[in-house]
Amino acid sequence: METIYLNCAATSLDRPACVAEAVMAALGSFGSAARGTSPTELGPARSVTACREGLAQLLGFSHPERVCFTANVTQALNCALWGLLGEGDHVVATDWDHNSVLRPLHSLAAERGVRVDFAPADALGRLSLADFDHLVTPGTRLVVLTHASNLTGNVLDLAPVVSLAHARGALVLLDAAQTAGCIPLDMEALGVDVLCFTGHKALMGPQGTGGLMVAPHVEVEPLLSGGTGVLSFEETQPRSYPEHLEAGTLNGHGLAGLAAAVGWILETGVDTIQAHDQALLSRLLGGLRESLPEGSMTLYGDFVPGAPHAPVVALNLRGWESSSLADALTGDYGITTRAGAHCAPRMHRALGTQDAGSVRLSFGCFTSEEQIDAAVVALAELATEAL
Amino acid sequence: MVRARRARAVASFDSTHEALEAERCCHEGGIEGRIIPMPVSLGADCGMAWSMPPECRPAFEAAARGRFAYARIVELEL
Repeated sequence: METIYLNCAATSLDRPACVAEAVMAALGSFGSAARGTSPTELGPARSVTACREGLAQLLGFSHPERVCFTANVTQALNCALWGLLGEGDHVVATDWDHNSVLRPLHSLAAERGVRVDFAPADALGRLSLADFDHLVTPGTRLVVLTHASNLTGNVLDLAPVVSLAHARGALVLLDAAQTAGCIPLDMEALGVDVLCFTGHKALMGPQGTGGLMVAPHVEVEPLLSGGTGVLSFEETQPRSYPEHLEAGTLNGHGLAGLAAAVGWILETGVDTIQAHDQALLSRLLGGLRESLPEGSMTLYGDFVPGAPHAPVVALNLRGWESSSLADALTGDYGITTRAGAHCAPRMHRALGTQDAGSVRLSFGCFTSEEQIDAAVVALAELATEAL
Repeated sequence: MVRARRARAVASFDSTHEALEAERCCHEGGIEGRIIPMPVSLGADCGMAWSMPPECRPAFEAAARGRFAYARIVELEL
């Protein structure tokens, strides 16, 4: 039985061949970046720099030296949130946010008295500009936006919210975990102040890679301090970027893979990848609506033809618990999906699925039409079985 | 064996990124030199520095404008 991997929103499985080749080459040749000046150290230092530059180009940022690497987007978001928010600050977040945003905010509320308001999602998982208008006040320090919900795949129209936030004097932190690499994104054109990304989802790099991009006018206090390879006698973390937010040895091997992946995406074009994903999304939705018995399926999210949407579909089938459905898809059809709460408690509550969870199908640029069709057939059979 | 010393202009940096950007600009501009460990006389550090013949210093300074930031340049016998 062929494995059909539809869990790309969690992590990519299929990647361009150049990614593994770059990692293998790095494993056999890299010393530690910026910890010496011999070829074994300068090689990884140049590779890491190339990775910063590729990401900056891909995501519309003209300061590659302020692309700071972390182990993943969770660490990047923690770095940004703990580094931006002080005692009693007010922050506006949303129901779309992942626990990688929510849990640090809860901790900040407990430890620093940070006040948090959430823009609510409606039954289709949509956010409203009117709610931001109500919640963001002239005293708001930060607005945290998730570009695309990891549960519904809904994509936020960023420009009006960023504009509103800036008009009230707030900074904007963007969680681009689900969109970097598969939906065009221009950080500077949008005016985003800090952008957090992960390397292993649509960017198709190795796990253990991620980071944050910090606009030059923004000061983020470091989450970690330690070795940087420069200014060793200073007792505090250097103010210069990227070292300001990078303590300890970087994942040079992983970043070599990420640099290769980003190069592949730049060559392929995010527009091309997005068009591929959107075509598969339409095929999946059309197939499900056509093949499943009427009333047997509940889809979550807002699917507007022509509007950007992350390659994510969450659903439940009548007569199936979400966990059992995911298990049947794996066991009977070899299809990998993700059941449960998806680290998105507020989004599930907004959709009314906090008790049932849902099954999420997510795909990427190496997913084929045949695999989508196979998922439709499987879900149609399982939906019929439960009638 | 006693290694012969020679005059070098050495630029230091506050960031590895800037050192590597300097290296790239110098290579593109045909400015002779190479990355070396930060000389102790510039500060006991583990960072990178750019070492070049003293006569290359004006070209280096010109190349830096708007492209990269260096901390300082010192002439040393290395």
